[in-house]
Amino acid sequence: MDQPFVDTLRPHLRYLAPEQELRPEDRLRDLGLNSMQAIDLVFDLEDNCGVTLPDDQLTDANFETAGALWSAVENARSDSLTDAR
Amino acid sequence: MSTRPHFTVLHELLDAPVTDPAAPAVTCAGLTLDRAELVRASHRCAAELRARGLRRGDRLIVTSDSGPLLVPLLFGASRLGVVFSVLHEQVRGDVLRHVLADCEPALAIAASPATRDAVREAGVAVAAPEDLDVVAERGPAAGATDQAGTGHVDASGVEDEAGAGPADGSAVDGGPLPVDPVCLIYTSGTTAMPKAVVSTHQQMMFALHAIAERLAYRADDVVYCPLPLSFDYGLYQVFLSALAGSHVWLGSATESGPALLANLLRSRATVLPAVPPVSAALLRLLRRRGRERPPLRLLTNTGAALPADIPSGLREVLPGLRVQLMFGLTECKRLTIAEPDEDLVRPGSCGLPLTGTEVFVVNEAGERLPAGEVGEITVRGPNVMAGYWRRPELTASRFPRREGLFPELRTGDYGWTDEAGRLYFAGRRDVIYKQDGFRVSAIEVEAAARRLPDVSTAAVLTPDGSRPEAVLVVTGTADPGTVLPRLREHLEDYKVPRVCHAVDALPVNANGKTAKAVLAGQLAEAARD
Repeated sequence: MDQPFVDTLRPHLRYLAPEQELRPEDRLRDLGLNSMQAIDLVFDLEDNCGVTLPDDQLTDANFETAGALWSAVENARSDSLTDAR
Repeated sequence: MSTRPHFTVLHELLDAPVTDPAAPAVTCAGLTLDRAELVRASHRCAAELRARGLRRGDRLIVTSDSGPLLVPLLFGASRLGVVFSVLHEQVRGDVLRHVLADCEPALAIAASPATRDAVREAGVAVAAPEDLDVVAERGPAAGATDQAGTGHVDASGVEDEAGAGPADGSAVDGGPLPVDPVCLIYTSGTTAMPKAVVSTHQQMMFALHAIAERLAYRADDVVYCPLPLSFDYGLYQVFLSALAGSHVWLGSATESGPALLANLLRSRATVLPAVPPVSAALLRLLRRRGRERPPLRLLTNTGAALPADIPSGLREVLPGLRVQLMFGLTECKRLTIAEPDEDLVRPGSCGLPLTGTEVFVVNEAGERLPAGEVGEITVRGPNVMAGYWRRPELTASRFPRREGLFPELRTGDYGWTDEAGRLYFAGRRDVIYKQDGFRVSAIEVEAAARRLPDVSTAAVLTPDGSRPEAVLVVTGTADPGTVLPRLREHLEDYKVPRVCHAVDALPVNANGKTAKAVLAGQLAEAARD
């Protein structure tokens, strides 16, 4: 998980203490991400991480943990690179 | 308008003949029950509750995450005259103990093991949904149906036993009368702990038919419900759908996030009962990339005012969509419903009162005010519920009786009516506010914060024109960064404020109460420094 990704997530996680580290296995819902904020997060990720999350990636499973979401972002990134070629 | 018979007890909704018993009735957690299956499951639930010793007048708590069993359980409880209460799955800690002591349920059904442990500790009988082996296997994995018949209660036998009584519901064996309570709905108010609004069968059935007359759900509708059934807005979707023969699709909390659009497409939803954040989310998702559109024909709104740009945006993207704005509160379920797309011609209008009810505004002396003047919104009619469970003083103040006899509901909401009687909402003057369209009590949040050992005092600055979101301010040794996560032990997520500040002391006024305006000023000043 790179810094822009973590920095994008943090404001949406009201139960993540300022000095607390975000770990891949952390469940986003337990850190305060509700369904409405998860939608805000989609847009922030697309703006800050330069990816477009395909509609079929907007699944409950991909928003379960920080690690799962990071994988979805990584996949979207490599897909868009492939598309560009 | 409607020529359908009016039902007086809840389970009659299921027992009315339908044109297609094989039509899907309810989908929850991946399992779909058709109408006939739902009816059978409700009988099996009634038998199961009976076997566990529940009788008319007993109370049943079911948590909102109980899965496919939830809806049949509610109807099953009704058959026995058992009073149900759907509790939000995030109620825990002191609040859960309070609810258990207040409600005194004969049985609690909870999906979460932690919740079951807490219920057991409180000395209340508890079961997991899977302990009640009453829903026949069916759904996507249709191949698995072979085993469904075996090992389950014999549906036909149960039907004979539970369904053979008088058809009007006044079963010899203790079925409910229309004047008996059907459910308790726990809600936030001007008290430190939630309190329950009690509805009788006939109050609920009146409200249901009156709403159905305005919204006109159809047998071919798929109603996608993004709200848990612990809220009356969610709960009534089940009953409105049963009345109309529609298919209600219950979405879990996560299913209304980024996956909302996909779930609307998957369910082929035609009706979406929404609160403003759900509508806003849907619009953003729809605008993201133009592709497949769900066949939505109706979006309803309640909970808080819907900013005008959202319905206008939604109508652009979904040309077949109509929007109906409503106003309500649990104490009378629904006050007013506007005509479809009335927001386009009368911005801000919440519509006319339900047929057979009256909505007017009064001054502090309880006298009616003329059109255009702001006062406390007051309701008369069969939709005014029975009152608060075991709260006689609070009930007397909110549900005062004219001449000592005739109940009215003082809503605590302020607004005005126009000459035609349409309602316009102005605001509240007490501790209740809305967060994401859900009712939250500042007193309840403050009490929860004070329960943390390192918080001495707490104040909630409620949202207003200058402050879009509620702000929690605490004193004591607590690090404000740790307060919000710990509040979850005492409050459902939707009640936890987004922001917490710590100060040395809360300013007080001459009456010894927190001077919130002064406190807001101090915080604003500190933010500038």
